[in-house]
Parts: sequence; structure tokens; C-alpha cells
Amino acid sequence: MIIIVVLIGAFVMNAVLVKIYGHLWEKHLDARVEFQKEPSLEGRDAILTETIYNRKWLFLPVLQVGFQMHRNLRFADGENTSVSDQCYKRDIFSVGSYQKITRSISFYCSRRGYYELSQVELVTRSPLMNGKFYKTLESPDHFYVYPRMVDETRLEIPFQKIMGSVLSRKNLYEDPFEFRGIREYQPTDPMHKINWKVSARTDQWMVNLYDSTSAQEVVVLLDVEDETIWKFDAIHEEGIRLAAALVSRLLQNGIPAGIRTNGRDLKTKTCFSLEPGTGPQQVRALYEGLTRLDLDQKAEHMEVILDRLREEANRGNRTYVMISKNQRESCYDGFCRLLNEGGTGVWIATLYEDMEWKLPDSRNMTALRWEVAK
Amino acid sequence: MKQLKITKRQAALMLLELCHGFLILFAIYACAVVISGHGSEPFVLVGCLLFPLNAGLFLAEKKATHFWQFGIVTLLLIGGSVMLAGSGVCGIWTGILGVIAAFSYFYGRASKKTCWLKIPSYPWLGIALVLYFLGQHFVSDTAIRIAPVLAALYYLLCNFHINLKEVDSFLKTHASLERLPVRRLAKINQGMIWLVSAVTAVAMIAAPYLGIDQLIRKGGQALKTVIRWLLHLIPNSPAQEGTMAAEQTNQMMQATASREIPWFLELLYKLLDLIGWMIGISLVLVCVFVGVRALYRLYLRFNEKTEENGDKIERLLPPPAAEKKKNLNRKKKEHLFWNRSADGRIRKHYRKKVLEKLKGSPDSAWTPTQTAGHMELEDVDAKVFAQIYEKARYAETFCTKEEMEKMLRIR
Repeated sequence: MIIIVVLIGAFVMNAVLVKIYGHLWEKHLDARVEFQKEPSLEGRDAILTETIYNRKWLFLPVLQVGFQMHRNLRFADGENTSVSDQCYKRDIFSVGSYQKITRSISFYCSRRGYYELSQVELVTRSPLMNGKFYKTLESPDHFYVYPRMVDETRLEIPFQKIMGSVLSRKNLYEDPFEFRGIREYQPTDPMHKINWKVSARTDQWMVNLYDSTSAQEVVVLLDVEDETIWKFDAIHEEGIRLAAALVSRLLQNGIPAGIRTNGRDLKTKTCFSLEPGTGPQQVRALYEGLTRLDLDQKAEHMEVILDRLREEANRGNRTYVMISKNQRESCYDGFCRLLNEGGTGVWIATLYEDMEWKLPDSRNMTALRWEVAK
Repeated sequence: MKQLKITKRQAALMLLELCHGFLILFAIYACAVVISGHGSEPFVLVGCLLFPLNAGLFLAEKKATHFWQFGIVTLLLIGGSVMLAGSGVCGIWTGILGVIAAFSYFYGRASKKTCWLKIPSYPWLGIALVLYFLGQHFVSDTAIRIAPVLAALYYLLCNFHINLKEVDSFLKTHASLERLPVRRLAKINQGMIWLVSAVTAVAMIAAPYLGIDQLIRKGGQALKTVIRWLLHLIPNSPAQEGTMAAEQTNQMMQATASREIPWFLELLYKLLDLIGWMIGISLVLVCVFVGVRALYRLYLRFNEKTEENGDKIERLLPPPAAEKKKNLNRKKKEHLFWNRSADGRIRKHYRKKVLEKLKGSPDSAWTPTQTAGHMELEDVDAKVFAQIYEKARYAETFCTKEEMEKMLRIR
């Protein structure tokens, strides 16, 4: 009889161990998949970090960590990845007791976009490795892949055109908060500009210099609408890059700039717009907004955006830059009406080499052709 | 010299398969010897000859490139084993099993299938069971003693084999994966399987002392009585003959037991018993030493930061150690179950009601007021429910008996 008892003891113990393991393996176990904190640029590499925390004595010989990511983000050498509708990645870890394992994986950002991670799937094996246990953890994270910078030399011509328009209408005011430096006193300088402390220290009259602020604003109008069922994503992407480059360059030069588009935001589904402003926050908001533009959603007609802009009060002294591949008459008229009500404008037509130039000449506006490589 | 291109895991798998073959052949051999009425003779040592025999055939089947090579090895091994085993029943059965094993290995290789002597599986435990019952039937003390050991060893062997096989196939399936921590996986898996085996072995040893034996015995006897009673209902049933045969067997056993043992044999048994104890104690000491050494090594490497396959591996401090490092005093937690004070009872009632109403734990970020709001209580009750609980849980003063009764009235 002893043999039966011994075998029962063994089988029961194995079953109990498997049950206990199945119950305990997921306790105090955490897995996080996180993108790098800083956003990346289209065409550059970025880092993704997988971190496993096992805060218990039980060790896990095999722990498979799986998650899915957008296929526009490609892992270097396709490491442990299968790509179909999404990019599915699974990694295998062996986790000891009270251990933290960090794995950094490099990936390539092939396209602009806003990418999200939602879940991490964990799979482990039973002590004898012949059974499986599953668990899904929430690990929300997001990542911005900003549009690529356009060629600086190519950007120079449109930028100079815009700056020409800006300078021709610029009103200069000294801003007492924009300190530029100190120089020696000239007889024409007013008394209130004298810096008394520095004058005392240097034993000669010194005056403060202030930067001027420009009252001129620039608004970039970005059109990402397709007139027909034919999609021109490459042109729109180039338009987005161009808009990002122009606005960021204007902001670098201290000129308040904003943007209006007819493209819709990926999350809010509304047309993205950014009021003119300056500072690092403006740059960030601009890039994030442009990154989240979803070209798959139907864009609003540009004429509607232009009408809305015309109806706005307190538009101030603005220069408008239209970036569009569409050269239809209604849109052109709308833009001209906007300029006639105050402001100057530049129209940048983003076109393939073989596309026809249809824009008529205008005194109010400068038109430029920006060729997009196919 | 040609190098062996097998991994440690494959070598271990081979060893386990070899042991499986031996244990199965040995069990069949033991059964055959017991059935032939020689179970009372010492047959275990002769049976051990099956190990080199099986090992030789195992290797010959793997390495022989021509049939004649396999044939010569087979003849030499079987002939040698039979000569060593002698011309008795043990020798004959060694020879027969050698021939069966040789044929099985040959057939397996010829048909390109895995030989049954290389596939451990739990159903083979049945042979050990058969051996045990044969030992009881044919009154073989040796068979009764070795059968549980055989079963236990075979069970552990199966566990190890399943684990290693699964690890091997897992690693082969995932071989294309980059940064697969093969060494770590093998190491941690070994730790796990040794732990599982040790616990299982302890369970196997402890099981007979836990009264399960009596339980099964009584259950079996009850079943037997029922069956016998049912058989008596059938006219001219064999039940009566069976009863008579059992009685005769009992009488024979009593006669055997009553025989006197000579003094020198008694002395020999005592000596063997002493040697057995010494070996047993030595083995236990070795096991303890190995265990302590492994734990000491683990302790030394505990806080090591390492990198493997580009992964950064850090040690997390267990809560007591982390608190000690931060000079924090660990609070001794007393389970709420033992707390019979008004505060304790209020908290227990709160927990019970929350779990009952929300059908699960509340969100960890909720305050007691929010939790009470989700419980669909009346507004007044919800307010009182949250307030009294907050007092019991967080206030520096204790709750009164009236408050406790007020809380307990909220249903």
C-alpha cells in the first residue's frame, strides 16, 4: 500500500506546486514598456525600454513579454518582431527573485506620427515548463515622431520671401523686458536708459539697450485636402515638414507665428490650429499638433478655414503663408480676399515635378513652387 | 580527437533516457523473478547488471554505423551479462531482457522511431505498482521494499525529463530570438526543478506518515466488503473460494514468520542496518552542505549588478532589508482577524460590506467617502459609514461601543 501513498503524495504535491505557482507568479510582478521621454524625428532612431520588476522571492525561469506597436516604428534588424497589421514584439526574460531587468531596444521612426502603447502581455511556464499562465498588464505610453526637417538651403528662398513681407510691415517697439546689453552714453539717449549701478562701477555714463519686439505675426495655412479620391500623402507630408520648418525658423527669429490647417487631429478629430505666439512652448505645441495630424481622416475644405479666419476680429497685422498643392480658384479667391482685408501673403505650392502650375499672378501675394520628390 | 557536439542539457537528457531504460528493464526483470518464485532470493545486484547492458546498447544504437558493429556489441554485452549473472533464473531473465532491449533499440533505429526504452512517461509507474502487488502476492519482501523506491525514482526522473525536454524544445523554437538569456534561463530553471523535486521527494517520504495509508487501506477494505457482499448474492460465486485461498495464504505467512533466524544472520542484518544508517546520515550531511553552500553563494552574489545580452540586471531590496537600510522600524502587523476591539470590528464590518456591495475591491485611489458613495447606501448611512470607518482607521482616538453598534447596524 505504501507505493500508492508515495505516488499519491508525489502527484498531489506536483499539482499543488503548479497551483501555487499559478497563483503566485503574477503577484508583485510588474512589466513596463516605455518610449524614450524626448520625441524623435522622422527618419531617426529612438529607444524603447522594457523593464521587469519581480518584487518577490519566487523566481520565474521563463517570462515572455509581448506588446504591439505601430508598424511605422521598426525595430533594428527586426529583433524578435513579426510585422503584419502591427509590429508584434515578444522578448523572453528569465527573472530571479527581487530582480529588476531593464532592456533597451533601438527602433527606427520611419514616419511622422503619434504612437501609443497600451498593453503588455505576460506569459510564463509552469515549474515543469509544460503549462502556460497568462496575464495582461496596462502600460500606457505615447511617443511623438516629429516631421523631418526640410533642406535648409531650399528653405532659404521661401523664408526670405516671408521675412521680406514681414519686414516691410514691421513696427518696431523697444521692449523694456527684452534686455540686449549695455553701451556708452550718447548725447541723444534719454535719461531713463542710464544704468546707474554700472555707470558708478565703470566711472562713465552707460545706458541699457533693449531688443525690439515685432508686432508682425505670421500665420501658416496648411492645406492637406485631397481634391479627388487620389491620395497625395507624400505631398502632404512634405507640406507638413515645410510648415514645421518655417514656423520653427520664424519662432527662432523672434517672430510670433501660428498655424491653421484643415487636417484633423488624430485624437480630438478637430482641425488643428495654433494661435500666433513665441517661446519654447509654442514650438512644442506646433510640433505636437503637426505630428498628430491624421491624413486618413477627411480634411475640411480650405475655403471654410479661410472664411473662419476672415470672420475673426483683432487679427492684427499678419502675414499669411499658404502651403497647398491645390490650386483651385475658390481657394485662391478666398486667400486673396483674406489678404485684401489686411495683410500680406506668400503661397507655396507643393507640387510634383510633372504637376502643372495654375496660380495666376497677383500684386498682393508672392507665389512659389516647392517641388516634391516622387 | 573528435569533439562531442552536445550540450549539457542534451547530455542530461540522454542520461535520463538511459536511466529510464534501465529502470523499466529492471522492473520487468524483478516482476519476472518474483513471478517465477525466486522473489525471496537476492536478485537486486544481478538486476543492476542491466544498467551497463542497457547503457552499452543505448550507445551502440547511437554510434554504430553498421549492423555488424551493433550485433557484436549486443552479443558481447548480453553474453557478458548472462555469464556474470549466472545460470539461474536471474541469469536467464537478464539474457531475455537483454535480447528484448537489443531488438527494441535495433527496431527503433531501423524504423527511424524513438525506442520505447528512451521515452520516459508516467504510465510506466504501473510496472512498479505491479511489482509491489506481485511482491505481496508472492511474499517477496525485497520486491515490496524496492517497488516504492523504484516508483519514486522513476517519478522524479520523469519530472526532470519533462522539464528538460520542454526547455530544450522551447530554446529550439525560440532560437531565432535575439538576446535570449539561454544561460540565465537554464540556471534559473535548474533551480526551479531542483526545488520542485526536493519538495516532491519530501512529500513522497512524508506521505506514508500522514495517515493516508490507513485511509486508503480502510477505503479499500470497505470497497472489498461491498464487492464480496455483492458476489455472495450471485449463486455459486467464486467469492467463497477466494476467501478460502486468502485464509490459506495467511496461514502460510504466519508459518514463515514463525521460523527462527540464526544469530550470525541477525548480526549481519544489524551490521548492514548500521552501515545503511551511516550512509544515510552521510548523504543527508552532503545534501545539507551542498544546500548551505548554494545559499551562501547566492548571498554573496545577491547585490551584484550584472549585464547579460545587453540587459541590465539589478537586485531589488526585499522590504525588510530596504527598511533597515533607510533606518525605518518595521511595524509588526497584527492580522485584523484577531482584533476584537471596537475599531477592529468596525474595520472588519467595513471590509465585509464593501466587498459585498461592490463585488470586489474598491479602486485604490478612492477615499472611504467615495467608496461609500459607490455602495448604493442611503445618503445618511453612507456618510456615517465613511465617517466611523475613517475614525477607526485614521483617528488617534478609539471608537466607542455606540459607534461600533451604529456601524454594525448599516447593512
